[in-house]
Amino acid sequence: MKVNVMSDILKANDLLAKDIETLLGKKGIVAWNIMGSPGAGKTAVLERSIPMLTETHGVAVIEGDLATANDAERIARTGVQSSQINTNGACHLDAAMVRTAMETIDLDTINLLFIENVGNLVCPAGFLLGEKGRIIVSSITEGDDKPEKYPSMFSTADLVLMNKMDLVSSTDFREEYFRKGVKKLRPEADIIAVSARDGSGLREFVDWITEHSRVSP
Amino acid sequence: MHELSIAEELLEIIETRARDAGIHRVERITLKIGEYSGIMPEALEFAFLVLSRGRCTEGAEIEMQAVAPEYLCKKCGLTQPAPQEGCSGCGSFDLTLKRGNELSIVSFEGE
Ligand SMILES: Nc1nc2c(ncn2[C@@H]2O[C@H](COP(=O)(O)OP(=O)(O)OP(=O)(O)O)[C@@H](O)[C@H]2O)c(=O)[nH]1
Ligand SMILES: [Mg+2]
Ligand SMILES: [Zn+2]
Repeated sequence: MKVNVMSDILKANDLLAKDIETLLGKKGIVAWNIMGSPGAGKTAVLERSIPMLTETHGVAVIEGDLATANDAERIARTGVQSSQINTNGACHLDAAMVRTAMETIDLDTINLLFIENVGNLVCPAGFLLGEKGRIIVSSITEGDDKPEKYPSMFSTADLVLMNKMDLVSSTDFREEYFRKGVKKLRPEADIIAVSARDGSGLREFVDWITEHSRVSP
Repeated sequence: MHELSIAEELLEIIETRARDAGIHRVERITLKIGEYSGIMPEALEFAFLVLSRGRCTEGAEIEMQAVAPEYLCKKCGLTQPAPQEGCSGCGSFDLTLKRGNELSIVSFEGE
């Protein structure tokens, strides 16, 4: 006997992600899934941008790491709510983990939720978390061929930040080459050069978030 | 990536559906795996093999259909493989990935 299934293997996760999206939608909250290699500067970009974002938004951050609460503590120092998920070995966040972390956040005081995924350029790509879109933080010290090498992740990005631009003169990073790599996989993605160290480009990032987080009434 | 946990999820879906259909022994499974899914077919198959021991999928043959990426241009409607610099028809960058990141079960057979 043959059984036709036609089901996504990660359907359970996708359904839960849809629930999260609906809940966030009701509360008027927009969520962004922030992904990238370990050490790319995901937390650093958030730390420096949050003070600008809180001028106009209520912000909270869910931090995903294998271990430690370091990142959530760094975020808490900016004065916004943060919640740490420890995946204890899992290489990505899934919707169930995010749903659990949301319980510790006061959703009535925010309209912008950042979910910093586990540092990893592969696994998080397959797991929806209820986000409106995906932001990849890629540091230029990782090399300019990362889009080509990690198509599963870059092909789903809405925004790619080229971080650590302050270091560009001491690397062989070719900005045009990197941009082309992204555009091949995800033509509609926006790309912004930033430095979480000297702050350059972050205003443009904040403007992008503001522009793309508008909820239609 | 996490092929082992995905193999377990796959196995559980098949176990449930097989039980519903009154199938005790699964002989053949057909999957669709997009080239951009981040899944390594060999690793998934190996994980599935190991996890299947003593379960209804033990010894089942797995067919994996690779799905090449396909983009749709929102301007001119042209479907195309991974674009080089914008749409190959009209040059627009307003293209979305339509196929190529799926990871799904098509069907299975057994008795
Ligand atoms: N020079 C320079 N260093 C940076 C920049 N952004 C981050 N760093 C440094 O890079 C290191 C890693 O930054 P994090 O913000 O912890 O990176 P992350 O992506 O959050 O890392 P994980 O959460 O561990 O995956 C830290 O030492 C930061 O100070 C930058 O723009 N320029
Ligand atoms: Mg971090
Ligand atoms: Zn076109």
